[in-house]
Amino acid sequence: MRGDLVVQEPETRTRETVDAAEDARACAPESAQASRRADWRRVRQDLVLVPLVFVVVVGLWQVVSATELVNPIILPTPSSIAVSFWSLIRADWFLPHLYTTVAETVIGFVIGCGAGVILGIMIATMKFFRRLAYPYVIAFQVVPKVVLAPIFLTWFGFGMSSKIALAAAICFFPVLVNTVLGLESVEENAVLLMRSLVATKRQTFTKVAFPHALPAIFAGLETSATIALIGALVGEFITAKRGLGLLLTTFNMQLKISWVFATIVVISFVGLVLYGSVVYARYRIVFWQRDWQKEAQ
Amino acid sequence: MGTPPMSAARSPEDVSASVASEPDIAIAVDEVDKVYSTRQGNVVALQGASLHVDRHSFVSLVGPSGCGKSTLLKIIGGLLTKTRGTVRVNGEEVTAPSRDIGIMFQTPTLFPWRTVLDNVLLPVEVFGKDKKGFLPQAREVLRLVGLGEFEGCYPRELSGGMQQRVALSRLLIFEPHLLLMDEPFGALDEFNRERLNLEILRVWTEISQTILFVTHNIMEAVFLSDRLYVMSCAPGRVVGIVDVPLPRPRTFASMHEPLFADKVYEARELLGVAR
Repeated sequence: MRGDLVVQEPETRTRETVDAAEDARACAPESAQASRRADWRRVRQDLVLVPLVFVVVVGLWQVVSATELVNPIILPTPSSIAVSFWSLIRADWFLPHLYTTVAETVIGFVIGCGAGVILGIMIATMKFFRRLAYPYVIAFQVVPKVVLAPIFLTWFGFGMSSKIALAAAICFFPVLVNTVLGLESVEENAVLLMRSLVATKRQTFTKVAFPHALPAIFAGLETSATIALIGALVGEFITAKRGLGLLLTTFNMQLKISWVFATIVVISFVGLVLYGSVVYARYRIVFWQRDWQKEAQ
Repeated sequence: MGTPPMSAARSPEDVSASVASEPDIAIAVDEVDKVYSTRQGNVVALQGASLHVDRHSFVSLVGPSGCGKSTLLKIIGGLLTKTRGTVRVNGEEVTAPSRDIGIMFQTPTLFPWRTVLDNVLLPVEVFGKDKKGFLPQAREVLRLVGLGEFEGCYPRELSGGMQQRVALSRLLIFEPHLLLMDEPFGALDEFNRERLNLEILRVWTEISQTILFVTHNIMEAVFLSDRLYVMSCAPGRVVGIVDVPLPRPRTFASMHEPLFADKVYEARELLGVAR
């Protein structure tokens, strides 16, 4: 039945070593180099094609509004937006507005996400607390958080705190839900392993459950990073002393549409930096789940 | 391995207790029932299961999937409660998991954020011992399973077979007296499984601990074991014992001895009669 597999002990060892050597090569950087070269070729193509799309779209836009096919008051030309953008970022009154919105967003993000992780851990680890709190969490989750903006302005005033509160409220739920999901999806055998080692609950949490939940938590953080700005801006739209949202509504009422677009560019840039920072943090911290590694294998 | 066992030395009472019962019996399971209550009513997973495993021997539980092999293994490991009967490991009644018993699953259950070395050192950390002090032992057990050069790799960089070897090293480092293995190579391909079977026999002769091995592969069970407990389904129960007096060390050539074929046939017949 297994006649072709008659191998004496010493020979088996040799086969082992050969296989181990092959395995070692699979682990070595040489094989990764080829796939990295292919990656690089794709990246170079993207570096040409993606900007090309931008140039074509913006070129068409320039033509359409410069020839007044569309009223330039409604749709200003890209060149006029560029001029407004340059004037905006060099204006001496601009930086306080930028700082205000960035500070509101970042502080709100940190508070909201911190609360989300802590409450998520409590819900996932304390059964009784979960039974009490989770129904309210779910019920509150369906409320569009922007409806809180007027109340928060009443409670926390027209300054930064009301915007921070709104950003925090928006960031809170994605992180909470993902933390609970991540902590609950721990592999059953990993928990059994810890039980067989007579580990304490605390050890099982810090050594298994929490690291295991980190990819899910970061998924929540990424979602929150993209929506944190909404909280700050909506608050500023209603009433504010300073902020990019205030700038935007002011320019809009003055019909300085090219300045509105310029402000949008600044806001997008702020959002991009915030999101990018979270992605970078995930890349460093959850190093065992890098997407590019998955693709390469 | 020449290193002192990590688990605390047994107290005199325990020793006298195990002497009072049979001293050479590592596992004594008597008339164990396991009944699960479900919404549809009670499900009998195990009925009157009994087995005795001699110290330093290699014993397999073999039977079709879902016949309660894993359930029995987890009861012996203290990870599941039993409904009736007694389970003694080294003369002591099992009521909870013990650091004297190591368990290995079908999945390697390595932590992807830890290097191979740190995965092996996990039990040391959990036991609250000095990790640095155990580095030589960790490297020694990795060398024992042929992974000496891979201590810095992450689990994802290793093949399934190599991952199971790491899982084995993680057991060996804390030197439990009893190793429970729940189809440890069931997820591997045939070639890797056979390689690891030889490997496990080699490791077993070096460490001389007791191994209880669960599998649904009769030939694997006969090849590895001193004794087979053949189990059958619905309800899960032991239907027979097959002793395998094949000489050791065993190689693939052992599979060509007439006794090997006899023993495989004997186990098959037990399963056939049971159905």
